[in-house]
Amino acid sequence: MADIAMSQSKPLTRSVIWTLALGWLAVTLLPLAFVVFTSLKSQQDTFDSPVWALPSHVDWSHYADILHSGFFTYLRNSLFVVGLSVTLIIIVSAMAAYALARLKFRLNKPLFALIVAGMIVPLHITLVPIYLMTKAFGVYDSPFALIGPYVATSLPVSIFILTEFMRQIPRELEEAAELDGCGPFTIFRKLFLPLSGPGIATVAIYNGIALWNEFIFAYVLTSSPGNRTLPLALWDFQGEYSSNIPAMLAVVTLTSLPLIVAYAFGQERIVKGMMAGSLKG
Amino acid sequence: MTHIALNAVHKTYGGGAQVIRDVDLDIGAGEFCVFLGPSGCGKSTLLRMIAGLEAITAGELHIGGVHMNDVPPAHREVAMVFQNYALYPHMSLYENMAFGLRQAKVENLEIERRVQEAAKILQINHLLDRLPKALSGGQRQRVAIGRAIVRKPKVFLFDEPLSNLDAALRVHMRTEIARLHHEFNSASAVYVTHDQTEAMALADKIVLLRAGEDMLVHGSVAQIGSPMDLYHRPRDLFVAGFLGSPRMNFLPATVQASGPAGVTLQLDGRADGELLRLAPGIVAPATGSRVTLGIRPEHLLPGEADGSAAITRRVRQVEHFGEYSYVYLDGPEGEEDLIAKVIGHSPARPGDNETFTIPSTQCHLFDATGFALPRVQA
Repeated sequence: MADIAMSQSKPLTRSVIWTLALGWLAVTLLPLAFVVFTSLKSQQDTFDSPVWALPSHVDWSHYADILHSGFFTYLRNSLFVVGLSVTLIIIVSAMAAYALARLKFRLNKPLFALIVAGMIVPLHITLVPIYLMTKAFGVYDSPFALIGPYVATSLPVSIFILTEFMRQIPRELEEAAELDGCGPFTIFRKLFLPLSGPGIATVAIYNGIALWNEFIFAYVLTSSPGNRTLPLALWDFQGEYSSNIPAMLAVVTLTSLPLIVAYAFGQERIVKGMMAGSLKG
Repeated sequence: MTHIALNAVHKTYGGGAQVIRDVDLDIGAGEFCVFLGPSGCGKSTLLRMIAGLEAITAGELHIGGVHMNDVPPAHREVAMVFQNYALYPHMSLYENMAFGLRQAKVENLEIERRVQEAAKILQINHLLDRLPKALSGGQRQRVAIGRAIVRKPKVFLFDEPLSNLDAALRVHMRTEIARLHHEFNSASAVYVTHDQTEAMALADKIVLLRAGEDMLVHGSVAQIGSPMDLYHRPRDLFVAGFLGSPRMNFLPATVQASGPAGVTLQLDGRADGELLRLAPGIVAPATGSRVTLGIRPEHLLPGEADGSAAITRRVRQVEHFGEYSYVYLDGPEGEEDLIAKVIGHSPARPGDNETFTIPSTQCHLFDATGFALPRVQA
């Protein structure tokens, strides 16, 4: 009886799964398709054709205009700020996680609890103090203004993920390394860092995506186009092309492109990293 | 040649839980010493204290005459083989074995020579490029041993190294470890196990440890001695019951008469007062005192011999193993069954009454506190 029920329910289950999967694919893919197709339409074409129609002819002129009006400066700033921030986040959070996961010292647990509590601090209440500090340090309106806040706000979740990850590394490995003559720093560098690869990938991906799309700090702490990051490109170009929908969507496409390319190349690693994070965290 | 000495060593954890109490122990140079005991007796903790992985709460540890309490693990010249191998998963076998030498800044040529030599001895030289995950349990254990060998330590420490292997491989690796110890016999070895067969097979010296309340009352060490010492001359009921499989049979009794002619015991649980007369050989206990008679299963001989003590019991079950049989007999009231190990095929059947001779020379007598009554020196 149970076998019959199973064999009858299987095709049904499969079709439900397929329907949900296709539905979800449509939800994620259609807006992207709409953005890309519309960005390739001429402005006239946008007004004349239905919303979901394909371009009557491919018009690259919006892309050319945007690329010639400072887009690469935004891109360069984003790559610099996100690259440096993520590198610092990984170094600092990995070292902190190792200490919290393995070293015995007073206040280890309260310190971990305090760091984790940092995750619940709303970003917006820190804006004014950070703005004032940035001014005071003389880095306002420079890419460096963003690195400090980006690293600081990303550390609690990164330390949380990596601490939990490193707690899973068998203690015997550490003890074997101790007997082999390693001190805590060598154990961290030669053992914990390489063995935390999936956890570090999770932290890098999670923060990379979040910081790539970060708007509010970039908006408050930078003002001139030469120092702003890609999310601000959308903001700045919005003023310039507010009535030119295809041009606006070309900016959206170009802003998303680096993440899409990164995902296409590193898909397997990204999924593994996310899974590892979800299981260990 | 390295001698290890522990003097009045204690280990208490932060919460006040004591796991090691008052251990005095000398391990001679080149000696193979096995820590044996039930779960929770602190045998691994004691080993880890020698390694430097656990702090010593009180007492002193000397290795090679040097006070080692506060010396970091890397400077104790010890190498350890862990229960779960503890191989570095991201390094090849070669790198696993070379890692400690690299840390010690040994020259590359010397590292290459030592790793190749150890790999040859352990027959893993064709696997050196592989990662640990590509190996079987036995091969991983060899690498773990290899990693210890290449460092040429003065002391080898083994923490239940065979417990993750299947039965056949365990026997094979046991003989390998014994062979390696003979090859490297200038180094002492300390080996932790809960498997008495391993302990009996490998040890020059067994340290049997107690757990729980007994440990708190009498100290951690139940008895130290050669395997045969512990087997044939157990110091108390715990040692007698722990070593030997099946364990020693215990028969509570009262001393009826005691003198130069021997000891007469009245066994408990028999209204008719079953009497056993044991020939002289054991220091005579006081008449009327409570004792426990211990006799190993292989020493209960089927049938009744003239002039020897014997017991008759109902057979509950018989197990045949070809080479020998276990005959389970009604035990003392409320106690476990008695077991007799009979060579070959026992004709006994459940429900039969069978008589077994108890040779006086193989008997152990324990006083009311559980300590063995000494044997009279011939």
